[in-house]
Amino acid sequence: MSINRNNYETYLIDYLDGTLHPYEVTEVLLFLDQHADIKAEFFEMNNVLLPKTKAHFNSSILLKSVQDRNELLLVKEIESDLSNIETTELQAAIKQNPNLISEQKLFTLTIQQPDYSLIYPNKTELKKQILPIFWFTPFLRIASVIVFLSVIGVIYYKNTQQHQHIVYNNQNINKKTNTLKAFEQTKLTSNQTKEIGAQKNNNTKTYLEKNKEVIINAIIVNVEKVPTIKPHLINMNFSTNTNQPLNAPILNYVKQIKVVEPDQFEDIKSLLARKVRQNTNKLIGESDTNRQITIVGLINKTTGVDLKIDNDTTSGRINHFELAALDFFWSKK
Amino acid sequence: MTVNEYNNCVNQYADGVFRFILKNIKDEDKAKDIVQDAFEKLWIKLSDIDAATVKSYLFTIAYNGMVDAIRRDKFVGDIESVKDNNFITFNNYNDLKEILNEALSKLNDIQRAVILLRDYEGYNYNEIGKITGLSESQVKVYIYRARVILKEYIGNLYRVI
Repeated sequence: MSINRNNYETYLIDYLDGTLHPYEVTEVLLFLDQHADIKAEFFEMNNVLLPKTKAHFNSSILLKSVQDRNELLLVKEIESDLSNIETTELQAAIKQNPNLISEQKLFTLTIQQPDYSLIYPNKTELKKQILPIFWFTPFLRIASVIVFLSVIGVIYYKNTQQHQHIVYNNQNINKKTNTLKAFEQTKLTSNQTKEIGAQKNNNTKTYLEKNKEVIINAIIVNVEKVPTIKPHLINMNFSTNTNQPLNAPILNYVKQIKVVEPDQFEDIKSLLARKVRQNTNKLIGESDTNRQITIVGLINKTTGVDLKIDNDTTSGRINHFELAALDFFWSKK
Repeated sequence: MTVNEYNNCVNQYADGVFRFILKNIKDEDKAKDIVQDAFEKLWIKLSDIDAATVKSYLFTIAYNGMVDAIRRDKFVGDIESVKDNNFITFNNYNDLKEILNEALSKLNDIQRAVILLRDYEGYNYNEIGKITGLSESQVKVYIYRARVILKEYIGNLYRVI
């Protein structure tokens, strides 16, 4: 940057202070030679400089600085901040002035010790819980509660309804069963009872085939205990002694029980009898009057109650219909 | 940082921050509030904070909170400091711990803060500078002056006792 009339004051002051670079000094002198008015101003300014005075050395400052220096070294020592040279310097100072040892001890005492008895009273207030992401949205929070309550409500309602049906049906079945059992006892001979017992204990199909009887074997499947019961199917598998299987209609036994009113209980009997008769008619033939059908062994696992139906007197084809065992079948008398 | 790491921070640093603040302002309720605020701010910035620097972050927030609290109570604080500094009274001290506590109260706020960060938490000059917003050389000067004041106060008491 060159000197001009706008900035020459700065250069002149720096020249007087002796802080200019040698090449700047040359530049300043050239500038003064070129500008006589500024040169005159410069000499006037030079005249106003204060005369130099003799400096007086104050020894107390030195003493204070030595004390400060020692304190600094002692502080650095407890701060573990001493260099090797400073360590030597401090050792020498302590040798020279043994009073520094007590100073050293006092500095050591300035180190603060944490008071571990002071603890934050309730840290659990500061802690945060980890919540599922959906929980942060108020809408989803409310929705999830509603859905949960709805599901619980539906399950409760279904259980209540199912239980009522079962109790309802049990009462009616029990009521009728006694009558039917009494009727059965009068109708069945002792031989027939033995035969039934034998059929229950042995392989049903083998027994009946050996006696050349028409067999219709129905198996109850998937019947569960009260009160977790659902409507179950009775899968009726028909077979004959000639080993000709027939597909029987699927009888939803439990469902039928449910839908029948108490005063219509007789209809259950006739309904089941009709179902059986229809199948036996297909098998045996409506015109075959020589054959009589005995139905034994259908257990009502749902309620645990025996249900027996006597023979259908109108057609004469079913002389016994019992729901008392795992299987039921017809047999020719 | 995760929520678990945050909860670990509470376990690790809540006491230290609380101790540091309480020693500075000597008001337990205010110290609790400052610690609580510090952790709330940490929770808000949780995703931005690295677990390695969380301790310094907590102390920085707590220190700033403490400075704000001191400024709010400046008038009362000034009166107390004038009274304490101008009229040195020698109480009956039972042990060095009490003497040190008393000596600590003779320091100004910055001197006390840097000394406590240095002695309680073992921070180096650079870390203390970051927490308090001072340069490293300023921290050194404050620590030096604080040590000298503490030493002189303790020395005077020893001489009297």
